[in-house]
Formats: sequence, C-alpha cells, structure tokens
Amino acid sequence: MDWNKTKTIFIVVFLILNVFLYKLYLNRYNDALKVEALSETSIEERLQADNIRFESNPVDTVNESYVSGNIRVYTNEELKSIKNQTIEIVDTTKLVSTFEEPIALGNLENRANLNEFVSKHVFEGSSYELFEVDVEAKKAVFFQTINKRQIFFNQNARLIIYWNEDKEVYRYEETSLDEHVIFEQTENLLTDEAAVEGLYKQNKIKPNSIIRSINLGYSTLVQLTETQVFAPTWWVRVELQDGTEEDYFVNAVEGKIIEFNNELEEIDEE
Amino acid sequence: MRFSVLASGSSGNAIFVENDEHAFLVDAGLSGRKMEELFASVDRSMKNLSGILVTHEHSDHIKGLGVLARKYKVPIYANAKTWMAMEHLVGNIPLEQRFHFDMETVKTFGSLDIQSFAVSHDAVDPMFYVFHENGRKLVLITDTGYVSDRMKGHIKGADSFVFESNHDVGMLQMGRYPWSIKRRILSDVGHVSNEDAAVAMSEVVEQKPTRIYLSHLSKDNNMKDLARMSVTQTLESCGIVTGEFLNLYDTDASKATELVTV
Repeated sequence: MDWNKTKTIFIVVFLILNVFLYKLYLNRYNDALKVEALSETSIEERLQADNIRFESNPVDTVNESYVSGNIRVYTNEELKSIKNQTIEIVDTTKLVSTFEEPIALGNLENRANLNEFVSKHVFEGSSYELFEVDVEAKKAVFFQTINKRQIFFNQNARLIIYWNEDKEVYRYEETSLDEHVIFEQTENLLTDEAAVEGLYKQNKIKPNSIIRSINLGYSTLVQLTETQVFAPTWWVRVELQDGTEEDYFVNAVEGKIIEFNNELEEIDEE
Repeated sequence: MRFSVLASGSSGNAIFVENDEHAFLVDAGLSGRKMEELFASVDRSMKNLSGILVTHEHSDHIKGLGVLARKYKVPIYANAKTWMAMEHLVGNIPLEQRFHFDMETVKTFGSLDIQSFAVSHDAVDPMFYVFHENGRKLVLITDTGYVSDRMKGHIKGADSFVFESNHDVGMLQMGRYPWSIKRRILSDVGHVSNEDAAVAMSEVVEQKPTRIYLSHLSKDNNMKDLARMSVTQTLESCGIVTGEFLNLYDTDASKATELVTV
C-alpha cells in the first residue's frame, strides 16, 4: 500500500468536505439573518396585514417630567365673584354649580366649542379639556390639565357638565388639583408608535381598526398622603370596524398598559 | 465635624467626613477617577485621608476601593467577614493598610469617635457608622431592609442623618424589575422605602436643629421630588413638620452635597 498516496487522498477528501460544510454553514447563517431581518419589520407588516391604519397625527415628544398636585380645598371666599350660579361646596373638595338661567351649549360635535364654553362659564374652566361627550346621557366629561396635558380619569381633577333637552347647560360638577409641581427629573418617553405596538402585541387592537388619535397626558402613578404624582401616559383612541371607539392608556415611561376600571361608569353612577 | 455626601445611589456611594485632625471616606463605590473629581468638587484631596471605612462588599460601595487604596496608601477599615467577601473584588491591598473595624464597636481618632452598628442587608456582615465629636452626632444609615429598635437606639438624637430613602413602593411594584428583584428590595434585607424611612426618622429625631439627607435613591423607582414629598408628608402624619427644626436635603448619584458642619 502506498501510504503517501492514501494520505494525499485523505487530505484532499477532507479538504473538499470542509469546504462543503463551510458553505452549508454560510447558507444557514445567511438564512438566519434573513429571518431576523423579516421579524424586525414584522410589526408594521402585521399591522398592515390586519388592516390597522394610523389616522392620528404623530406626536414629537422625547422627554417629559412627572408632575404632582394636591387635592384642592375650595373656599366660599374664592367663589364670591361667580355670578348667575348657585354653587355648593361638597366635602370641601367638590363644586356643584347650578346655572340660574341655563346656557345654550351650541354644537356638540365641535370640541373647541365645548372647551370654549367651559372656559367662559365654569369656575376656572380654562384648566380643563374635553375628554368625552355622552350625547345620550347629555353630559360631557373634561379632565384638568397640568403642564398643558390632561390628567386621565382622576376623580380629583375632572369636570362634568350636564345639559337639558334644549342643549342648555344647567349644572356642572368639578374637582381639581392645586400646588402643581413639575418634577426636576425628566424621562425619555416611548414613542407614540411604540405605544401602539405594545397594545397590538398584547392583542388589544383588533383587526380592521383605525388609530384615530394619540395624545400625551398623565395618569396617577403614586398616591401620597396629600399629594398625587402623575406619570406621562399615552392615550390611544381606536375606532373599531363597527364604528365604536375604544380608549387605551399606556405608561409612556415604562410601557405598561394602564387599566382604568370602568371609571366612566363610576362617573355615570354619581 | 463636617461632611459631604459625595455620591449616593445604586450607581455608587461615597460619604466624606472630617474634623480638624482627621478625614475619612465611608465607602468608595465609584471609579477612582470619579472619586477624585468628587473630592475636588468639595475642595478636598484624597491625599489627606486618614482612612476609608467600608460598610459592606456590594460593588456600589467598593468599586473604587482597591485603586484608591493602592494609589493613596490609605488605611482601609472593614469587619472580618466583609474583608473576606471583598478580597477577590478589590485586588491586592497591602497588609499594612488592612484594619479590622468590628461590628458594634467604637474606634477613636483624636476627638472623633466612630461607632459601628449592624444593619439588615443582603451582604455578609453589613454595618454603618455613627460619628461623635464634642456632643455632636452624625449618623450614616443606608442599605437596610428595615430600621430595627436596636438601630434606632444607636442613631437616635443625631444632629445630621444620611438616611436611606430608597424607593416608592408603588413605583417599585408597577415598575419593570423582575419579581425576584422586587421581592429582594422589599424584603427585610433589601432597602428602606420612602415611607418606612420617614416613620423611622420620626422615632429618632429630637426637637433640635436636625438635617436629614435623603440618600441611596433608586434610579428607577424613586425621584428626588417624590422622596422629599413622601418623607415630608409621612413625617407630618407622625406630627413632625419639616422646615421647623428638621430640614430635608437631596443627595445625588454623581454630584457632591455642600460640605456642612454638623
């Protein structure tokens, strides 16, 4: 037996085998890279595939602070200047006002109109912003703003106006927070798109939905003895296929979905 | 006696204490270069240190220890178990620089008495210090899961406190930490929350001018404003109004507090 020849054959065979195996490895490696690249864009594609469309305006917010406020205690002294209203202070922290002459509200569809109404006729009404109109119940819910942003579903920072059959406001109830503090520390926020992605990944957004609006506000983070601290929060309004609307809230720092347990129903019951 | 909280938080801790004769650093939890910058910011030099006192072996308390010990030839004080635990973490420190400071003992340096006391933390033998001079008392107490009656006995009536106010329980519970870490922080060997710290403070402060530095704030589960508000309101609910005889001060993870006299 010619050992030299055998050795050469072995070397050549193993060389060919190694080249073949290396090529196999490269192919698999490239395939794996392609799969990863696909998964990176898959959220957008999946949103598209589920016919979920954005019709909201993009919000350019990178940094935002936490804010805090204390429950406001109303005094009769500060309400003296209010004319044509009978105002009652309930438990020191809630105002219930009845207009002596109900005031025409105008177009319910127009948010600006409603905001203008409360600015004009409600005690310190300019610090509230419309959240929702309930035409059937003939009322509209406003939330107080701090740092130009709404505080969502806080029973100590809301205004409800009620109107009659003739669309005339006859009564309102308000609570508010004072001694606002904008915290020194700012946080990098999740983008509005990331908030929607988070909701989609948790199956909150159904197929054939439209993202109607995305706004930044605040939700309660911490409740201290006197003070409440609020975290930046995305409010995502989604229109379903049947035309109904659903609201979702996402903590804009942590990305957690916030559930307000039937807060509007609670408001209804009052 | 004067002191400055050079840095406080989970990214690194260091407190400077001096009198006219001696200067001590309690923990060196930042890099050597950063520690030098912090010393410079209070117009002091590490060359004049009489010693570095170590509270426990966690990295946010000893990160710069080895480097500084070798560079400045400073005596290092720690208890026996802590020495063993940090042996492999700080590199080689010459024997002549190694000193034992046993738990619940007092060491005297001229007119300065330094007393060690045990805290409840998940380190091998964690302890903190009380500095006494001419009837004035400075207490350093961070990294403890709770403040026991025994600890309260040691720290009661101090003129200045560097007191842990680590987290807000709500923020911690809602936050992104894994459950195991949350459980560790909330446990008896974790860290003290804002509210628990305030309750403990209310039991150890006396009716005399007192400074409390809220320290070791969690980066993710607390904020300076929140800690101050929470401690203020809890103290108020315990009948103590801040701003009268008691004042609260912030500390920072990378900025030294003003050097003040106790």
